Amino acid sequence: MYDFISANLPYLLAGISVGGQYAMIAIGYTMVYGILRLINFAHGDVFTAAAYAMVYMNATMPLYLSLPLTILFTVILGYSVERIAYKPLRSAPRMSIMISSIGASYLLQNLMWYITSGLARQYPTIPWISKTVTIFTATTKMVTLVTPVLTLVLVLLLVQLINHTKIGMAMRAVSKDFETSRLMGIKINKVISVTFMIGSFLAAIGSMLYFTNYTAVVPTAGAMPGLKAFVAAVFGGIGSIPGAVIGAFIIGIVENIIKAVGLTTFSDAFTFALLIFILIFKPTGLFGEVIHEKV
Amino acid sequence: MKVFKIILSLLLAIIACLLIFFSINALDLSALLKEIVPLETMQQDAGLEKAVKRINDCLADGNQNRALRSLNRLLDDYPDKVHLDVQTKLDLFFYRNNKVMLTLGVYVLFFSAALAVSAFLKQQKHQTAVLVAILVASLYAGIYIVEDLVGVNSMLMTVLKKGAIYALLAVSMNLLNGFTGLFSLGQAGFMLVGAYTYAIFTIENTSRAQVYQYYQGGLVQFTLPTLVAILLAGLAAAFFAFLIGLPVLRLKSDYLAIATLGFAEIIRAVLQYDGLGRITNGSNLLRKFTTFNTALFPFAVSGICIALIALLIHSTYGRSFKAIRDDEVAAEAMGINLFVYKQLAFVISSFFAGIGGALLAMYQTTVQAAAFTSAMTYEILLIVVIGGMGSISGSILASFLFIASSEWWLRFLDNVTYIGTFKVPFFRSGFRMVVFSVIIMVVVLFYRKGIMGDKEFGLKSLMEPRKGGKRRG
Amino acid sequence: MADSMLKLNNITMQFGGVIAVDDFSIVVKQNEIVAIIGPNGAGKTTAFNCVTGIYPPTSGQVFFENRLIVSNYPNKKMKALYAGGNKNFPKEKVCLTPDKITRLGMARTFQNIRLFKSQTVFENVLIATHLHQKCNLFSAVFRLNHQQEQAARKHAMDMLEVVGLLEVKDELATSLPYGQQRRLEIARALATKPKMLLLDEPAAGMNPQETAELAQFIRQIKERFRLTVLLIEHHMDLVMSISDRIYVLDFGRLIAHGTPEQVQDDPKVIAAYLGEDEE
Repeated sequence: MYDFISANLPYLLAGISVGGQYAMIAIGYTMVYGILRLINFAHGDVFTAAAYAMVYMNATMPLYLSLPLTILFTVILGYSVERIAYKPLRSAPRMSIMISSIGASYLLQNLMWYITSGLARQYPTIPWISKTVTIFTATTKMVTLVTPVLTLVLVLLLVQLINHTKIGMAMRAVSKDFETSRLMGIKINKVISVTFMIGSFLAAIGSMLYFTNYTAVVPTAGAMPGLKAFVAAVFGGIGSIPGAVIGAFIIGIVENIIKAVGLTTFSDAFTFALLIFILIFKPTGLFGEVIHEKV
Repeated sequence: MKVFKIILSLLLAIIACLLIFFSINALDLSALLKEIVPLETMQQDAGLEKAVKRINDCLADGNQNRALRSLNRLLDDYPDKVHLDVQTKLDLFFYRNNKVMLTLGVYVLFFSAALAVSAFLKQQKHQTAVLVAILVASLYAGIYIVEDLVGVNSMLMTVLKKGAIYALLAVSMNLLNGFTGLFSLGQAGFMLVGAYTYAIFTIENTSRAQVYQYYQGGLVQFTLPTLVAILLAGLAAAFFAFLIGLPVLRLKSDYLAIATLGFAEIIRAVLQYDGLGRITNGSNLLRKFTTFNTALFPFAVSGICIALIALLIHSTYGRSFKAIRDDEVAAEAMGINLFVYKQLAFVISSFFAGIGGALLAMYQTTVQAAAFTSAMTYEILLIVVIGGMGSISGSILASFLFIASSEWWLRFLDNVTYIGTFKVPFFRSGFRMVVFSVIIMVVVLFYRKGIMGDKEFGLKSLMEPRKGGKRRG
Repeated sequence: MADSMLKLNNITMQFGGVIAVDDFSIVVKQNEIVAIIGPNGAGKTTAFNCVTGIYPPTSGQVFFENRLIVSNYPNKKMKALYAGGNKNFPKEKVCLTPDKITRLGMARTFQNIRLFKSQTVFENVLIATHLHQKCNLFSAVFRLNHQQEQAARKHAMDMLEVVGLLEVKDELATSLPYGQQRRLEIARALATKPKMLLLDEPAAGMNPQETAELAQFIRQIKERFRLTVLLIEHHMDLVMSISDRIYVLDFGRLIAHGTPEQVQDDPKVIAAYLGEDEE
């Protein structure tokens, strides 16, 4: 028993940690989807961009400046992506917006490749959370413990924001009915911008936690965690924030269990298998709402 | 009018035949040289003899260009000694411009044939059919000759080869996304299945031990003929599509996109799985399978496949696909079984994606599952969008433009460039792709219909202005 | 009963807690023109959608030419939620898809016109002839079905002539004026060679003159193609002038049925249309 725990505890801890990081990205997906009915394919690249921002800023300034500036940069980036790639297509068919998001993702990836000359960059060590700690028998970084706590705190704050502020109410209204909200005088563009900014803010924090566990950043580093976070959002029921968080933790943990069993090749494939499974048997996810289409 | 056309076409045909005759029968240089510099004059002048010998030496080395240059110098140096009458001048001209004249001849012949067709065939439909045949034939003749002129490995041929393959991939994706309205992102997965199926079955038996060095030489120990393997590649992809389509095609637009994307990732993971290594070579690359050298091969295969897709789209099945795209509910009310037709479009599209994957493998000469990422799907999707959702000719055009820009025309952006002492800013590795993706974003945002919209670039639009002219006359 | 074309038995449709159609039964005989009328939101279109297989009713059965095409009963979650009036559930679950129902000979039009937007008027009708083309993929791709195709095109042209849209056959379907779009929908439905035609508010948005023409037209095609017609309509003039019988729905319930004269004088119908004072 002791052996079993000591053998598997690192994987479980890693799962919880990575799950929290996925959750941070997944919230961005799920909120945007809730409001625009759009899979924001560029979100994963915003996540990567945050990592690069950290790399470059940390090289020139102290941590207490680079951390907030990275977050600010990411928020502005998320906002600009929305302004440039999605706003002009507000009245276009959904397929066009989705294609635009793929285009934006392609552009961001190429841009990052250009700026970094395609070389992997060393991710800076953020003190304290990079500290090594030992829990029972497992040795891990502090970030493993910080992530789930931070995730929960941020999610609680976000839920408060959505339920108890004016902008939160507007968000809920827009996600229920886009057109009617517009008619009721809600400033749609403002709501959408704020949504993207919140998503990017969380992605920036997620990125700091995620890349602390990895040494290097490459331009496509965000693609896979981005997709997995999206799967988490679908799994939890797209549009639902608690759903996205729970989905992300489940995916993070199961993925690491699969690694523990020795099927590392399949850890990515598993995520997608789970996605297809849920889409077939419960297309609305764990907490999603059924939407009736009018004929 | 008809008589005039016939006479003109006959005249052109005669000219064409002359051109072709002369360029095929152009004397080779050593024979020509004997005409130009008669033996007795040569023996009178040692310098001249030396020059002639130099030319013959170059010819013996197979260095035609140098031989020609030497000949030019000879003609300049000894203008009074050389013997040049009309006949030899003509021969020399055809020798110098051999390939260009041949091309010209072939095209004049095609043109005269087209004229004759429009004179003799009354029915518009027959005319179109023959004209298309002539166009296609001249296209292939053109590629053949150009390839001979510029060399198989030149940038132009690379672009043509890759462009032809991407054209097939884009058209097959357009069949699904543009014509049937199913937003699928599984293209890379089906290409991968096709590429692997092809590669596995055409690796030389003697090379298998080397390729599958970590897997005891692999399980498959026979080699299929190229075309059979290509067909098998398509069938394998179609089979996977059939299995995947059963559950997935019931999903609505963006769920379908993400589910197909997921399947592509799963296929990629499975093919890299160590347990299947004796077949798929695990995560190592497959190589030493049959490839092609000439651009005619991908053009022929892609051409046939695209023609089949075009025929399908203009058949009763294609009409049903378009109906589903426009309005699922109404299509169903017209007696179209949504599931069957979606499944059909999915399977057919994947079949051709599989063939495209096989061609891509042949083009690359090696293939590795890890390279078939979703980025590849996005690239093809963007080609489809640039060309116009629902336009075959748009997809073809966009493929060549896309490949030409990314591989060739925009290359200069990747090089650090100086104008005088001024260093051009931004120009360095990776800038090309940035510019390129900006262009794509501009198309996606501001020219949402792409180059062609859902129109086709066809003979009809070519003939329209002529009709107008007729009315005036 | 031999000449019953369409029969609805106790159809109930419940969306979540909302009952759109409650215990609705009708019979349409061969060669009749029957109308379903009722105020907005009375559940008319919902009933249509249940009949044509777009979604299954919560409970009840539909027979077409005495053949069971739709049958359902509340189960799973619905069992507890169910609040409809009728309790005699059929035991079996049958749900033919819309395309199968169309194949059996029932064609319909839509309230919110659903034409194939990117295609021409002619192509819109041609798609509907697909039903009667029997060819496999191979013969379709290599044009071995030439004669069939020719016949289909001719049929489509005939249908366009019937509705008087021959001159605009090459226009984009959505570029037509509203009235012509409705006619095109009818032509498209006719091209499937139906025995029965279901028209969902065919006169919506038409002026009185157009409506009168439409009435004439419906009668004509009914005679010419030996059709049975079931229609939903708001325009009382149209309904009263062409219907053999009328069913009146209000809040999902059948409140009256009979000949136009009977229905016209029914106090419950008048109340439903004019609003009733609470007693």
